[in-house]
Amino acid sequence: MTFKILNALLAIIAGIGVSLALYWVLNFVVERLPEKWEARLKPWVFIGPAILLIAVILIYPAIRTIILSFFNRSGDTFVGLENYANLATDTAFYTTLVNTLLWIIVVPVSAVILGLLVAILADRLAPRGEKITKSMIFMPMAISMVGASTIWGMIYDWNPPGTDQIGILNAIVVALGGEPQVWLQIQTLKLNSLLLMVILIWLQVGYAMVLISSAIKGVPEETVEAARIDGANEVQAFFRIIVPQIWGTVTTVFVTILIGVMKVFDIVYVTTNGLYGTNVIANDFFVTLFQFYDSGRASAIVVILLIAVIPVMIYQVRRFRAEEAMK
Amino acid sequence: MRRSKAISLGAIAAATALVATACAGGDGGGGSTGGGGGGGGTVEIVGAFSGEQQTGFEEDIAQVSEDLGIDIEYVSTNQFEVVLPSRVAGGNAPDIAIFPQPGLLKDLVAQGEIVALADAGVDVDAITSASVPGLVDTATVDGTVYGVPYSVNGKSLVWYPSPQFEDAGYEAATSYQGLVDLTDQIKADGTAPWCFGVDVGWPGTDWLEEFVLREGGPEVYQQWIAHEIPFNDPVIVKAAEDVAGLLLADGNVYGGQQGITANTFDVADDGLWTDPPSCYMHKQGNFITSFFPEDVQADLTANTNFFRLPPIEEGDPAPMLGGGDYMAMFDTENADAAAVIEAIASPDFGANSAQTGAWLSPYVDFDKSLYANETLANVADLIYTSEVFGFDASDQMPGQIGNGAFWTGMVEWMGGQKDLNTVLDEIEQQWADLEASQ
Repeated sequence: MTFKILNALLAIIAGIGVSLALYWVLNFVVERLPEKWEARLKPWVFIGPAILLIAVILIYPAIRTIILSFFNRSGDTFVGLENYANLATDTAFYTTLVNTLLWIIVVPVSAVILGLLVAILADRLAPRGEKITKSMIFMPMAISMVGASTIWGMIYDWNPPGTDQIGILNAIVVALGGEPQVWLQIQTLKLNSLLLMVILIWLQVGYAMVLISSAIKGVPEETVEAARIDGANEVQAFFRIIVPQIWGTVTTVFVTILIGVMKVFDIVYVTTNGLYGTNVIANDFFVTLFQFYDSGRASAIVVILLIAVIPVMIYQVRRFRAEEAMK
Repeated sequence: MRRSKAISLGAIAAATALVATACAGGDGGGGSTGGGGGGGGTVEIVGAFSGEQQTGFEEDIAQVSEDLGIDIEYVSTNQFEVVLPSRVAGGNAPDIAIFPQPGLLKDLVAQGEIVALADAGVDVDAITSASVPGLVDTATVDGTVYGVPYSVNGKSLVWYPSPQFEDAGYEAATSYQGLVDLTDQIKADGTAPWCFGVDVGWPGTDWLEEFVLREGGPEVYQQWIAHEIPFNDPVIVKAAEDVAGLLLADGNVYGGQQGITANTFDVADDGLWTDPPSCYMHKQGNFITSFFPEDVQADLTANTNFFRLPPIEEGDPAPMLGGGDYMAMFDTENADAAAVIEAIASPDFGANSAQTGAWLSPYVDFDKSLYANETLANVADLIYTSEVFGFDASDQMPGQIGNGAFWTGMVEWMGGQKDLNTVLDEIEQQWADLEASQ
């Protein structure tokens, strides 16, 4: 055990030491060069290793995954578009896609709206009340998705009728004279998927609230005052004056949550494991690769996810550039 | 002021050499914990079990270690099916792996990673004849043995709360019809006869496997696993109807259909222990005793008992559905690992493991008095004397079917979302598609 700890320490020290040495050596080399070249190359010396690292651990695997998606389950025979064709005709995968789409729409929108609402209302509170409210709502951010799923699993818990209902939701239903329901298995109107989304919304509202709240505080008071003097009521002042000024923050928060939601895995894995029509792309990928050992199909699934993320990324980068240009 | 080019270049060369050495040093430090294949006198065993079973196992291997003069280290991982393949692919295979399922073992055999035990000098024939009959077959590919059992478990066990069960005048059934009658009798007395939860699917696949083994016998059972008969074959349909006759009739399971789908395996037995019992029978593997309430576990033999899920007709060969863990190795030259496998694959191994109550020896001559209690000794006895042993079928099917379509199908059928024929047809279709795509 102590041997292992020593080994780990050694690895950390060696790792950091080597990185430092590498930068020092590269810097040393560049400083030997003529001044013109030194100025040209120096930024690359410092950013180069980072770019190289990203290429090795992000871009290379992405390309490899795309290639593997055209191969069979063990990755040794080229099968063309067969993996994609199989996915296209698989009704279960169709459900998975619809679910993922639902997650992408419902979670970021709800989190942003709720975050905005809390931010505005908290803004009207006395400083002390505002602090407490915000801390309470921000707290779930510190909980892991697995932890949150376990907590909410208890809220949605079912016990046989006639016994004590441990799940809060069923306890309420029974107290009102109803029958306990197995919530996470009710597929009507995708109720079970929506109940799982509540978990992620609960986790993300705090994040949305904090950023939006600081944006609201950054809105110059004069602009709001001016609107009021011109006869605008509170609602008009909010939608016409405040919202346009915080719109950049709102979209950033929206896109960040959206990208996170696309990769949602833990919640579904822990609660239903994708059964009862609740599967999402990331869980499907995990099961396909690590339980079914089908690297071809699994790669095809994540390539579809990758393709879905790209437009969002492009939008975000463009908007970011436009904003920069305005400043 | 600039120094001369020569000095600079010299300094660069020296620094580069230093970095290179440092890198090599770092790698060596990180990689040396893995343990190479053979030699050095240390054998690393990777397995999936932990907790009490690990404690018992470590005490037992300490004894082996002393006898053989070989250091043995056990590494437990709860992500075995992820960790082991990546270690093997990375050229860092352990000396011995203990597989909780034969599926992954066979995949690695197909990839040429696992070696024939006989080639490594393990006395396979002696081990085979000492173990529960048929158990080694599951880790045999084309007549070559790649794995030998480390543990065994039985699943054809119907648990009941013995004091209440006996007070009510119920008696263990010895045929399928007898079990149906018992089910009806308990229901007529006003209690749900069965505790059951399909969880993510495997308790459901277990039930179907039980009756495929009984209706079809071991040969048909093997054909089913190998997909030599279709998944919607009449034998499978008959077996499923047997299951439905016990579990799916209205009022047969505590909590009704909602209970079947809502109950995970760890709470499915809860109804046995209420006062009075909410249900009287629960079919589950011997591992379930460790999920019984603490006061039940305190005196297992007084509080609970079990009977074998009976054959179809009284007098048919006594069946046992079950499973087991297999030991395999990756290098024929690894004599230390071979010696350790031989030592573990023996009726003399496991005195401490048996005491934990979490482990049963797969070797029929094991001293049953070493088990923690009478109940476990009886379970072991039932397994050792079974005339037909069927290794868990879903664990032997391709993952996409065995842990995928079959699981999901059982949930959908038992939860009432789809009817039996639709489910069996869908699984058959998926299996045919899978074979077509290979």
